[in-house]
Order: sequence, then C-alpha cells, then structure tokens
Amino acid sequence: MQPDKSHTALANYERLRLTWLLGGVVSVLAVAAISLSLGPANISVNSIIFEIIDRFPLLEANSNLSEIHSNIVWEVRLPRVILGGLVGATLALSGATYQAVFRNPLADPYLLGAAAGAGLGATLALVNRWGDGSGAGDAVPLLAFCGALLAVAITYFMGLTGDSSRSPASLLLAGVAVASFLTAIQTFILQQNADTIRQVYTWILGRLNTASWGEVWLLLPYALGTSCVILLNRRILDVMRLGDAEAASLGIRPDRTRKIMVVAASLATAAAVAVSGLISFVGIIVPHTIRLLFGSSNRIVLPLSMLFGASFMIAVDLLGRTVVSPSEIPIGVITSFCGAPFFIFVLRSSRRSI
Amino acid sequence: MALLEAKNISVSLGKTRVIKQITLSVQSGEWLTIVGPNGSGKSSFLAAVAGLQHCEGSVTISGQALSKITARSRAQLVSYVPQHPIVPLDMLVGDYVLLGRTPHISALGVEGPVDLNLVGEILSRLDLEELSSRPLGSLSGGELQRCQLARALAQTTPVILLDEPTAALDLGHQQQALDLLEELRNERQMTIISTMHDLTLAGQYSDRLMLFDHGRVVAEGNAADVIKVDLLAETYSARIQVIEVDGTQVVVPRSKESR
Repeated sequence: MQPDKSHTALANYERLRLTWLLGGVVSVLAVAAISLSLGPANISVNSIIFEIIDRFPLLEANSNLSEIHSNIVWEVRLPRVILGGLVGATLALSGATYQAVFRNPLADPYLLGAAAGAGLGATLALVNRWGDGSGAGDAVPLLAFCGALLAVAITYFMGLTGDSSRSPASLLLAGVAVASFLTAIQTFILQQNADTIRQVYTWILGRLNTASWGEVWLLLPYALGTSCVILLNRRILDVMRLGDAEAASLGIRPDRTRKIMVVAASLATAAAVAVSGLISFVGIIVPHTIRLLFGSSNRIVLPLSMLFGASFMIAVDLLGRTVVSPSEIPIGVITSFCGAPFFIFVLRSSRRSI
Repeated sequence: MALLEAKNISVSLGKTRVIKQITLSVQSGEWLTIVGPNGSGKSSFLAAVAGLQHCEGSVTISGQALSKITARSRAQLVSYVPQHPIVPLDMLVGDYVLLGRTPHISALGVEGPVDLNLVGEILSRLDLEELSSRPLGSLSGGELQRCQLARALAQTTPVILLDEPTAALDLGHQQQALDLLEELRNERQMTIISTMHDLTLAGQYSDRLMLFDHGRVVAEGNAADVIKVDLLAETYSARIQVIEVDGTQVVVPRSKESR
C-alpha cells in the first residue's frame, strides 16, 4: 500500500531530528578528543583513544604513553574536559529551560538571582578565608551553591502574588530585585575587604583551570538528575508554549510543570556555578543558536542545547588555555568574546525567528 | 441520557457574577451554539465547561463529573479551541497538531506510531498535509483556523468546544470552516458546543441555539425559536429585521433612517 504522504513527512522530520542529535554527540566527542590532545605536552589523538579504551574493563589497547603523559591525560586534561562539558551542557540546558517556562527569549540561568546569590556566597567564603576556591573540598563551591539556591528560593517566594498564583512576569521581576539586593551586599562586603577583590573577580569570571575529579563528581549527580527531569518533560514544555489555558485544556498542570522545571534548572545552575564560577552567555547563546539553526521545538532545542553547550564550552576552554599559553584567559571572557560575534552572525544569517 | 450535562453553573470574575445558574444538557452528536451580545458570558461559560474557569455547579460528560477526574482524563473527554489561541509562530504545523495527542500520551512519553498515523489522517482530512512542515506564522487566517481545529480533533474527544470558530475569517472561509465542522460532526458523531456572533450562520449550522444575556439564558430552541426580531432587538439593543430566505432566518441590520 502506498504510504500516506503526510505520515512520511512527519516520520521524515523525526528521522531528521535523530540525525541532528547524532551530530551533536559526534561534535562533543570530536571536540573532546582534540582538547585532550592539545596542550604544552603534545599527545596524539590516537594515543589518547587507546589510553581511554585501555582503562575499560575487559578491553586492552596499548597507547605507548609514558607515565607522565598518562597522568596528564587522566589527572589534568580529562577531568577538565569532562567538567567543561558538564558545565556547558548544564548551563545551556538550564537557559533553554528558563526560556521555555517563562516564554521569554532573554531568560538565562542566572535569571532568578542564582548568579548574585552564588557571587555573595563565594565572596563570603573568600573574605573570611574559609577557602581559596582551589578545589572541590573548599568552602567556596559549597557557599556558592547554597547562595545560588537561597537566592532562587527568595525570588520564588517574593514572586508570590496576593492570590497565591505566581505569574511568570512577577517571578522575573522578583528575580531582578533579589539579584540587585544581593549584589549590593556583595559589593559592600568587597569594598570592606579590598584585598580579596582579585580573588573574587577571578571567581566571578569563571574558571575550569582548577578542575579535578572531585569537582566532576560534585557536579555529575546534579547534572545527570536535573537533565533527566528536564529532558523527560521536553514534550510538555512544547505544550506550555500554547499558553497556560490551552496547556490546561490538554491536561497539563502548567503551574506544577513550571515549578518542577524551575527547581530542576536552578539546582543544575547552582551546581555548575559552584564548580566553575559565573560563566556568562552560554545559557542564552547556545539555545538560541540551536533555535535559529534547527527550529524551536523543545524536543530538539533541549537535547541539542546540552550537546552543543558541552562542545562549545570544551572548545572555548581549549582556546582559553592555548591561545596565550602558558597563561590562561578566563573562560567567561572567551565565552562572550567568541560567542557574541558567532551569535550575531547566526542571528543575521538565519531566516528563522526566535 | 444526555452526553453532557451542566447543572447550575455560576461563574464569578472578581466580584462580578458573569454566569448565573445556567443549566443545559447536550445530546451526543448535537451542535449547540451559544449566541448573545458582547459580555453576555458566552466565553466564560465555555471555559467553565472546559474546566478552565473556576465555577460553581457541576459538569458531567458521559456520566463523569469533570471536577472529580484528573486534568488528563478531562482532556480526553472535552477539547477546547479558545477565541484567541496563542500561536507559537515558529512551531511547525505537524508539531502543533501532534500536541493535541497530549492527553493520550503518558506524562513523560512521546508520540508513538498510532499518534503519528492519526495526526497524519487528520492533516490529510483537513487538507493540511502539504503544510505539515511549515511554521504556523507562514499560514493564512483560514489555514491557521484549520490547524487549530485539527489540533482539537487530534484530541479525539466526544465533546469539542469552539469559542468563535469563524471570528477571524471572511465570508467564504466562514462557510468552508462551518461546512467542514458539519461534515466532521456527521462522520465522527462529535458533539459541538460553539459560540458565534453571526446569528444567521449560527442558525443555519446548529441544531439548537441558546441566547445569553447578562449571564442568563433568555431564549433557547431552533433558529425559528430564537431568531426573532423583538427578542434580538432587545437583547442586542440593535436595529434589525429578520427575513426568511430559502427557509433560513436571516438577520439584517437596519439603517438609522429606516426607524
């Protein structure tokens, strides 16, 4: 029987989406492989692949790497690449999620005050010398994490209106107010402790140069847990695009969905900020680039944002540590410096609208 | 037994009571149209029946009280197309219509072959298959209206609520849309409750009319019972005359001078 045209059009479209997802996975693997091989010690991509295969149980491959090179791969570059990928994926996914639930293209992961809260937490830790931001066991990530979550929680309860229904706009405005309040406190504390300005500033610009397995393990459960929750809701987020009334008529509970998504995206953002500082722009630029190139369905925007967020961050970190080697450019500087022109290029050349 | 029964429905918006104790029942396969002046409570009533507007009273469909079942089960019984739907301009037609399958897909699942086939059939039935990969923003008013109807049909509910389904359409497209609804109703034994401003079209296509004024039912019955010059002139505060053409009541506005 001749298949109906419309069925195949829909099926083709689904297949195309799978191809894009595969492309995303390949891009992460390719960028990761290049990033692992480049650095002051040049190690070939082949050796790295063999080295990694060798570590899998039951598999054997000879990479011919010296112990020093093997250590560079395992203790320096691999945790950094994985952490960069996780941070990029988390921030891009959180940004895309906020944009979807608030139906606001300017929403980014720091929208509800997560950045200001994390900044205040980190500043408190640094000026009180509870830590120097050098690793996973330090007080800086812990306080940054708590600060980010606390700020979002305050925003959420401030965003409550009189009749207890939270309108998305009042939540966004509460976020602006809370962020500016917390930033004021942070600025005051910094002014009183001018000797730590440089440390705080470095933290704010974001960094992956202290990446270790400890930080990877710190972020991984949050990144995995929250991204599962968000990705499983990708279809419902598309329904939410029809507005609350129509989503409700299709059997969705918009308030509950929004709450779950905000909690998941905020947890993910807080965890990412805690290990990498404030890396700006990724949460806006990656999801919007995906929308401009592949369309706006959350079923494609959310998973692709994760994949390309990861590869973008790994690539940007590679630039940051190789361009002016042996010193490093802060990653937050590069994300904006490379990301902004690329985004403008996509914005101008794409015929799609956001 | 009636398919849909609404008993003593009252709706308050703020402190204003916009629907006052309305009771109605609709048979399976019936097309009921609610008419009435602006602000008479037509849309609020429809939203209340759809379960989207808090109301007093009870609505039951196929014997199930809507207030006692989950949002998902309710969405399997009644679909609703609002007067001004939010249309994500860059969403593709196929994706938009597929969203109608939401109540039939598990909370965290995605569409299966059954859903894709069903939507494929609806798209082809409504002449939308050529448009399925186009963004909604690129469609004409008539095409967009068909997409909204297709989405509601994809919900496969026994009852479909349409708030001003022809408001944005020109005369030819109004007729096409209503002809299509009539065909679909006969094919699928759908029960339709709609609101409409055009009294002539409402009378032509519906089995029964209900005239609302200030949140109450002031007249009910077939076109001949409701489309009466005195009744409408008073309810709408309008200068009109009603003439009969080919057995259809036609409402014609009269000019100021003809008074």
